[in-house]
Amino acid sequence: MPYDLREVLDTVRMTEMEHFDIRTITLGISLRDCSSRLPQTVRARVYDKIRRAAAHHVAVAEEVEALYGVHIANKRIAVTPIALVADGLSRDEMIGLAQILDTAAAHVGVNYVAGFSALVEKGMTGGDRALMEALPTVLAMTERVCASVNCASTAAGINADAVLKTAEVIKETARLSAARDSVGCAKLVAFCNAVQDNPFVAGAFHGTSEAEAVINIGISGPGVVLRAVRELGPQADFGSLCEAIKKMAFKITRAGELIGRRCAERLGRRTGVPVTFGVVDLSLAPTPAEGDSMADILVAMGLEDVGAPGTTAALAMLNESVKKGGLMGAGYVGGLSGAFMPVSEDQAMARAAERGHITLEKLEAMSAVCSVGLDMVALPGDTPVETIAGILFDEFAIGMINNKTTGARIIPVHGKRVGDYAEFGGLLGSAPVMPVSRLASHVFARRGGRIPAPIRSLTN
Amino acid sequence: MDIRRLVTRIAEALGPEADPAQVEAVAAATLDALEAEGPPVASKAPGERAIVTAYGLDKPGILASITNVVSDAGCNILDVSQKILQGYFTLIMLADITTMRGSVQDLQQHLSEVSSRLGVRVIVQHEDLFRSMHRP
Repeated sequence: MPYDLREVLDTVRMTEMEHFDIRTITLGISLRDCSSRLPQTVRARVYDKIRRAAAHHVAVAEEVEALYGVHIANKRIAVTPIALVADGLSRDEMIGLAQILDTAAAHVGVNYVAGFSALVEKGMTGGDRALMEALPTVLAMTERVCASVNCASTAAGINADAVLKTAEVIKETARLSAARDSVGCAKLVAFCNAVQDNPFVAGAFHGTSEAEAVINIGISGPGVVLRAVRELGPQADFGSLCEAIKKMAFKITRAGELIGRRCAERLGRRTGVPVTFGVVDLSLAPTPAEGDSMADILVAMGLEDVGAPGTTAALAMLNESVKKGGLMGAGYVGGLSGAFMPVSEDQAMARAAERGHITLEKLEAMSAVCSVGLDMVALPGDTPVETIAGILFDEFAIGMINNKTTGARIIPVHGKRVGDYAEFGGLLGSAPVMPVSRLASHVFARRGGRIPAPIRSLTN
Repeated sequence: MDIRRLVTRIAEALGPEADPAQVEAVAAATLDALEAEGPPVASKAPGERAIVTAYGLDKPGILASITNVVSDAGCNILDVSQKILQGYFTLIMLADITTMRGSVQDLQQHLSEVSSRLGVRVIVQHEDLFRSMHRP
């Protein structure tokens, strides 16, 4: 036998008992050749392109899933930011295009298509404005369309007009999808330093410098990392802890790389158009399933609960170790490659929020060292627009100054108050409504203009 | 694997009645012949291989049932390792799937019938997964 019993059982234990899966296999499709001044032409081209390029995406992913016995949780599509493809269309025409995206996604069997996006870190064109005007309606009325707005970057600074506009979009989306606990907001991410090859929906889009069709992989596996940490026990020092996490990250990255490459090869053969294998995104991402939690890893490291002093350091160490272990295992690494600490999608995080162990401020501190941002955080429905803008400003300032991606997927749950629970369903999970500072940010949030880009020296 | 092939050849050549000298002579001749043939086909051209893993409470007929399904699918079973610990059964089987009829998906489906009949979990995974994770 070329493999010993221990090796085989190690892999089988990961796939069978520890929720090791590929979190997402995302097919990026360029829609740059779909532009036209005529909205009906844009719609026809977009629909056609997605149907052709992604016709076999789900089937191929399912074949590869069976071949290796590794579950692929999500098969999704990312497209060129729609504001670029459809610049010139009106708000209503943008809504029509979103409906076409929704239909095309349903037709090829994916649960989400991401990229109804605008990149407005420096300024907004007519198309960007029309897209943002359309967003609340689009997010409330479509099932599968996910959106993002890049409001800031280290190179350009923070576009304050875009931040305020995005906060208004979030509030209006929450109102329009009130019947389902404002779930529309779960499909919208506001970013600083958005990346072009992120496979993780809702914030994914297919960057303008990407090839025609690209497969990007997002790995997962909090369960296997949790086991590695637990096996070491409380006596192990940080060096041993990091080593154990790195070894585990290496293995799951190798599996991700293999599966991504196979999917790209097979999809290319099936569609007759070359499909490039892009990157492995080294992000640990939880699900609401028991034993698939990020917070549990931090607790296993020796914290009473997530939120205890030491949480930020624990998360920084975890994230660094995953990246260091994973980098050697993959040919190309990219995407967000940062730990996801969503509240509603992680049972232990939701519990910690319910008990008051984590607050918005602690989550913000955590996003400064590694995690991608404030993710799936439910806020009171009466949170003012300016307060939401203030939260976005803070999150973007962290990303801008530290030259990293930060994002916010916050849900001011319409009609709900602190202590209520919001149910988003499926992998989106459920979360308690968290308290927000009642101090006003009205004047600050409405100043408008831009916060200039930071200097890159004198960095203390 | 070579030892198994050697023993099979000797048994075929001599039948059940054989004395040690005869065995030695046939063994030497067979070894020469095997060397001339080169290594077994599987390692010369490794082809596609899969690992079948089964685990669950031990009961009679598990190995036989799984072996039958894998062979019937046209796979060549290359190696088997089986352990029973405290009543729990663990089986790992390496099979050449180059000549397999149908896909790994089909094989997994046939094995799930065995799986539900005998109450054991049976998984088929292409060897590349193990090579990627454990043989960097």
